[in-house]
Amino acid sequence: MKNKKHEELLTAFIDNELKSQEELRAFEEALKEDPSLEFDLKAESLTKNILKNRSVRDKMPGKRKEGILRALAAERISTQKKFTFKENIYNRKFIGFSTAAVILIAIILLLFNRPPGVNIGINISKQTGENNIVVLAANNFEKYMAGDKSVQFVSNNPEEIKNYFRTNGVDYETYIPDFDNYSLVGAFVTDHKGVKLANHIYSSPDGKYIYIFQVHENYLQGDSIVRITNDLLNYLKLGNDYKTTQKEYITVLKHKDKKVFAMVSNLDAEKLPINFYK
Amino acid sequence: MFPFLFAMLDDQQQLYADFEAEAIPHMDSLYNFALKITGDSDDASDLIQETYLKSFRFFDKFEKGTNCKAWLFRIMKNTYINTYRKRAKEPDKVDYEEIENFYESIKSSYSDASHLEKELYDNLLDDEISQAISSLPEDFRTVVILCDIEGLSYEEIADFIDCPIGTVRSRLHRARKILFTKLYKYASDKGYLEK
Repeated sequence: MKNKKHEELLTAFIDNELKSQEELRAFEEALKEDPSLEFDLKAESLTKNILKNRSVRDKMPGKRKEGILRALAAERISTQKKFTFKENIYNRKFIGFSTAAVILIAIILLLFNRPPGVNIGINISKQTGENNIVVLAANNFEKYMAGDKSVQFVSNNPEEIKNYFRTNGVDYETYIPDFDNYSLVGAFVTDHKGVKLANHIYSSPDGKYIYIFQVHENYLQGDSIVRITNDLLNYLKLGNDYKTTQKEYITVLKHKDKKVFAMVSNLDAEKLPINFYK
Repeated sequence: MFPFLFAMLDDQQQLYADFEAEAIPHMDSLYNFALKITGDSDDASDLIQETYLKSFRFFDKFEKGTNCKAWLFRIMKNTYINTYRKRAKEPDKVDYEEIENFYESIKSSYSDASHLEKELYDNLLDDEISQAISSLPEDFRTVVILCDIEGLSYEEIADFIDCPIGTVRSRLHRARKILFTKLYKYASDKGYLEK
């Protein structure tokens, strides 16, 4: 049997994955046209049957299983210790109202009692909205850490990753820094309103990750694909870095060579190698 | 403030109870897959530990009512790619054209495959089946384990390997053809076949 379409129909038929009546009819037609398909059907069904019922299912060794359960219990205790203020307070209607009222009064008192001349930098730190570069980068990183997003291209070679971006629709020159003690995991391209943007990831042997989302400033200005406030863009263009912490991640923004780099990591802020541009 | 703290601890306890009920029962399935992919029981156990710790940390993101097993497999895949893939030993490449030719020669010598079922299914040893699975290239091994051993749907496998469903179908077909010829060869060499 050499007909690729028939082969795939046969496989899907065996797995009960022929979803449309059309495909089912096409497969029945193929069976009538080519009687030798019967052999293929039996051979492939037999193979599936052997795998399903005869292959040895290795069980996790008892001691290792116990070890994992203990590690989970320890994790549970440590999670209980660090509660997340925002998620837990505001999700409770009754407690939420009184707590929010107390916080509001506290903020008003702080604002009216602060000494003259203190700049609280509220314009720069106001980075919200789903297309905002800080939010996009943090969401991508979080999805990656949760397993909802994965690298499309696995490589630890910066040149291969740059080439992957070039050949997958990223129309600006990318920069892939080299970090001591971190190895490149790979890259993925995200699509924002039809524009392809570059993302790549590093990992360390102790489970720390650095994610970099780089966007050309052409896509950050005017009717922008990715949003950033003008205040912040100007602040970055002056050579400043912008740091913010969300949940347990730190995000750093940098501007260099007409690109804005959003770096997100689960490292401690002071350990994050932010001076990466050589 | 105390009612708030108690309520928060209740939530944590509920989250852990849900995790225990939904995720822990899949540990053996994940280990079975991890062992077949890494080829080493220590690496497989470490991979499972990392996967479970990560999935517990993100369990509040798990959408209840969806397939928890498929969600755990996705987390394991990312962990595997990041840490273990480089270490894993890749089996020898398979010459698929040679497999096709061998398969066609088996096919032409049988008018009916019915009795093959008994000869292969009943006589092959567990080790021979495991060896045949291990010898598959990683892309093929992954789909065949997820589909035939772990029972994931094409959609879940496509999501796991980041490929369209058509690719899942074609990889499965090829993987099973390679396995069939390998198992046939074992059976033939060991004299399990009557012919």
